[in-house]
Amino acid sequence: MSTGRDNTQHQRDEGAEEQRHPQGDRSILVASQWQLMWRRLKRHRLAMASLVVLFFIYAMAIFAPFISPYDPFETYPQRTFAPPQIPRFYDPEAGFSIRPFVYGLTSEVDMEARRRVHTIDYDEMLPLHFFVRGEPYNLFGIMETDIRLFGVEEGTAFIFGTDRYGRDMFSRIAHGARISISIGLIGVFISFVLGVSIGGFSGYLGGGFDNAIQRIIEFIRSVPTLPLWMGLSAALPLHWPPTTRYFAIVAILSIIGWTGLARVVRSKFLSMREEDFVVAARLINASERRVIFVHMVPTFLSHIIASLTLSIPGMILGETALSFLGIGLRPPVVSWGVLLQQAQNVATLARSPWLLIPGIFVILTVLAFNFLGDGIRDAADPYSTEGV
Amino acid sequence: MSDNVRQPMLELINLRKYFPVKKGFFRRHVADVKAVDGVSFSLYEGETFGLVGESGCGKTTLIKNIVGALRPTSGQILFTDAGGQTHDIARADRERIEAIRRDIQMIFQDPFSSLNPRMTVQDIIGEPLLVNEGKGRRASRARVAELMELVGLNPELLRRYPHAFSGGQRQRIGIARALALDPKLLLADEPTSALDVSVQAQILNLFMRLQRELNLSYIFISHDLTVVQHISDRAAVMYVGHIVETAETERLYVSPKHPYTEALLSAVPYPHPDVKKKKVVLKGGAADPQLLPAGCPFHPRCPYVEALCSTRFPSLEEVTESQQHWSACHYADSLSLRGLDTLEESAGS
Amino acid sequence: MASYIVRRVLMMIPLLVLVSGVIFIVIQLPPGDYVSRHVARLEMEGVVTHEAEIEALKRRYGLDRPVHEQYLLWVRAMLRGDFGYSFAVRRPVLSVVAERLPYSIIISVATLLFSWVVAFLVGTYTATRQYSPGDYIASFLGFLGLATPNFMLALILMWIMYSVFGFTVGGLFSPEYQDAPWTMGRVLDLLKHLIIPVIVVGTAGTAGSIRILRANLLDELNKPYVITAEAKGVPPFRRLCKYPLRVALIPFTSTVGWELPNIVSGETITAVVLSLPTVGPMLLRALVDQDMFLAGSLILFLSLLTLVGTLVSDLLLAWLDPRIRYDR
Repeated sequence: MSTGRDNTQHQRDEGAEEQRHPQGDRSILVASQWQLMWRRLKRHRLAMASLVVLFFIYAMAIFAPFISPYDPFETYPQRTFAPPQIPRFYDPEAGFSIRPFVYGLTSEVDMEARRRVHTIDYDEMLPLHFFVRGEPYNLFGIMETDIRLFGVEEGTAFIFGTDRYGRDMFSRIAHGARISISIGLIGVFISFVLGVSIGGFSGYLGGGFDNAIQRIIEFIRSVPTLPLWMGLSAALPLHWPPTTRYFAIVAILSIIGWTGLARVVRSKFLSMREEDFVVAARLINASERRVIFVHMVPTFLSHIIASLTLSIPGMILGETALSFLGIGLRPPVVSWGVLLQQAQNVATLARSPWLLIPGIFVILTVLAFNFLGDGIRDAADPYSTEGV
Repeated sequence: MSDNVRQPMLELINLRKYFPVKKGFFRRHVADVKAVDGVSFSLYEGETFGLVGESGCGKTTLIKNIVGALRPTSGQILFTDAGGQTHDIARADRERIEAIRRDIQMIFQDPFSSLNPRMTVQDIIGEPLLVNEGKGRRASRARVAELMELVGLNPELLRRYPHAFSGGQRQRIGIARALALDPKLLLADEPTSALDVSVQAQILNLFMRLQRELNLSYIFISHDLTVVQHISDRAAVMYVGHIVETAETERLYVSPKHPYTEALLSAVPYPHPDVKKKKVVLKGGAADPQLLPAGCPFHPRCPYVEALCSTRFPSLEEVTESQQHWSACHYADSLSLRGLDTLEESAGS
Repeated sequence: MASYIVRRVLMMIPLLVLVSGVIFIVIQLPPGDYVSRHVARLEMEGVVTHEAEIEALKRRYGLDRPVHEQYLLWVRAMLRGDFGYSFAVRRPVLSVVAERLPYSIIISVATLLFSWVVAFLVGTYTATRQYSPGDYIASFLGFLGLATPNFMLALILMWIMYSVFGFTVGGLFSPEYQDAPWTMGRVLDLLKHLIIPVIVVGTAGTAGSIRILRANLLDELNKPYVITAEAKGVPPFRRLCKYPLRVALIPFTSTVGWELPNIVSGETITAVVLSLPTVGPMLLRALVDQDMFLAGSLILFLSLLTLVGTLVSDLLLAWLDPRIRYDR
């Protein structure tokens, strides 16, 4: 301590203030804002549950060929519109079994209705095996293998039923997850780049540029989204290969998506410019670059992450809607929206309600992103004293 | 301080800062908010100049002009550096301002918003050294520790984040940051108003100790008269962009020469149950700096208003009774206004 | 106030120019021009076309001119009421719009009203009974409503109606009223058929509005003046209605601006699933057939619908809420 007669007083002052923190957990004193945010997020139960759900959905998308028991394009003509064979552990006659099993199906053609009718055969128990050998596939384009997560040795196990060509819905949903979920991520990435750069310039430069950008954003937001998306995606050339079409659809979805983010970034820039610690940084001669990237951006990065998370659902719903209408992604590409296309007809739907299962995955994913985004937003507020 | 021949360290001459008000679709310029309107004063080395006034009277705008965070609309801000050279901050280029900022630093009112919550104390206090002298964390560690001790913080806490500190401790961090470059002049913008009363006194004592040890000069802003009385050698009272009275602190408090000063002084609480003070209660609120009344800006609220007050603007004039006491009231010499009876009256509190 | 209205209406003009520009780009995007697509379609149907005829058509639509002139021609024709001819349905575009747009407007307005009433009631209930079972159920349904795509909801309702009650939901009229003149019976029939589309289209927006109203009202109810009122014995209902509800309703009414585009979007896709005689299914058909003139005009009218709707709600809001500054 330096010399000075009020030194003892300082020490007393500090000692008293130290009491504010319980002796137990001292790690909080040297915890960075990110660590504090993670602590707060961990306390948000719905957000944590959503994180788990998203983890599983992403795992399903990444390891789709391994997880799905069948090739998503393999047709089983004897098994069109087959109902789900639900995995069970209990059979009235055989009792409990540790190993899950499914009942077999018997199929016959109803000549009158001219369609195949399936009945569950409660006498035929098909045990499910794990890590079975199925059809060979290529994992990540590097590994040739035929080991699949689960399957039956004889008969079939369509746990989510089949579609009109007798294709396994579960395998198709797992593969569809790759498209549906990656569209959200790539779309959000494009929106992020557009939104942060345009919103950043708008908020930073202000004046006429800001005004023009604000008018454009207002305009985009006042136009009904879906008809505009429909118009743009219907204008895509039909002969484009699926990958090109995929990226074009992502780009179309991002045309709207960036505006929300640009607004967040702009308003943050505007409010941060006047923030005391930003002024303080200027007063010690920090360069503009340092002020922006060391002081301003890290402070609102968490808000950006929250709004990014909250804008993923819109992208996923957009792709689903467009593909459902037949003007987004098209077969043979498998996405959840494409899968739902088969459920357009009420009569079909009434006979085969399992065709709606891809929709449940859409809802689950969207819900999870919404809860997670809410959780991050709540956790992001650096001055909230709640829970710290 | 009565030594007139001495060269002032800082001299403000007729400083004005107007903010344009723009309206409508084409952002037409329709009016000005006259935040600072013709302020002049001088500050000498080692002196503390107190600036008193209610919220929104232009105190903060004034000092932001002095540190070069805002560009004045007109007027001069003459700063004389250690080498005896005088610069006009109002017209300095960026490079010059950056050099001057090593000598003039600012302390903020709110110790919570003035520290970046994402940086450790070490990085906050070390930032001026990093930016201006290119000293990294390792190179500046010793200096940061020294600064922390200087302001009464335990240097072992340098890896903590601001959220781990109390308001008073945070204000000490802010002071340490301002001292990092060895400034000559500190501009303190209500540095104690966000703090508990008990901590306020400690921070004021810290300011006084630092002034002695480092030979600092202060411009000390507060809306709390007792704080200014406690710390400053001379003081000025501001009202909607104008200085209405300035004098040595004791003289200003004991025999005010402006009705506004009198009203402010009458509001100072006197902590004795038997003493009932007569308060001068002003009518209405502070004038809108966008629509100042004609004549004396204070006249609509002044209890001693005369006909002249609503037509003629009173300039700041030295009162006849004493030297170095200036008042912007037409009747400064004829009114007999009540101040504090003695300085001890409230200093004892 | 008058100058505010004028300015607000004038603001529409640049917006309309932008909308028409974007739509013109959409029309221009597909490869090949309008006439050659038309000719190709005619030839597919076995109609012989002559070079001279094609040239005449191209001149008529200004296809021999540069793009910006084509745009001006297109806008000028629209201002004269000529929206072109749809080859997909073989009728002038304007008559298609005139037939279908009113139903889109009816559904949108009905949805907006439904959404307000439900959000107002449920939002007030959940805020005053925070953490009650009803609050949890409403919050749960709200999140579900926000996450469920419109068409999914339509499909599920259709499926339930079909498999439980055995009738097909769809259209806006029962067969017997399909082409009947307007009578009381037809209006009632229309109202009956509106229920499902309105629920489907309105759910997401309602869920959002409930959350907003609930949050605003909770903020307001925790303010000291409400607690003071409670301490002074003001009865609960009066305590709620006197100020907090009014204050909380203001941001709530201003959400129309962003809700209307969502409603129009939702209505478009829901109409396809429920085969309603609105703009939506016609837009999809035009897009699939690459009849871009029809598609462009339909999008233009849908945009116009939201722009006018937002204008009306802004003016209403300005009239309701004196705190809005007219001079900006």
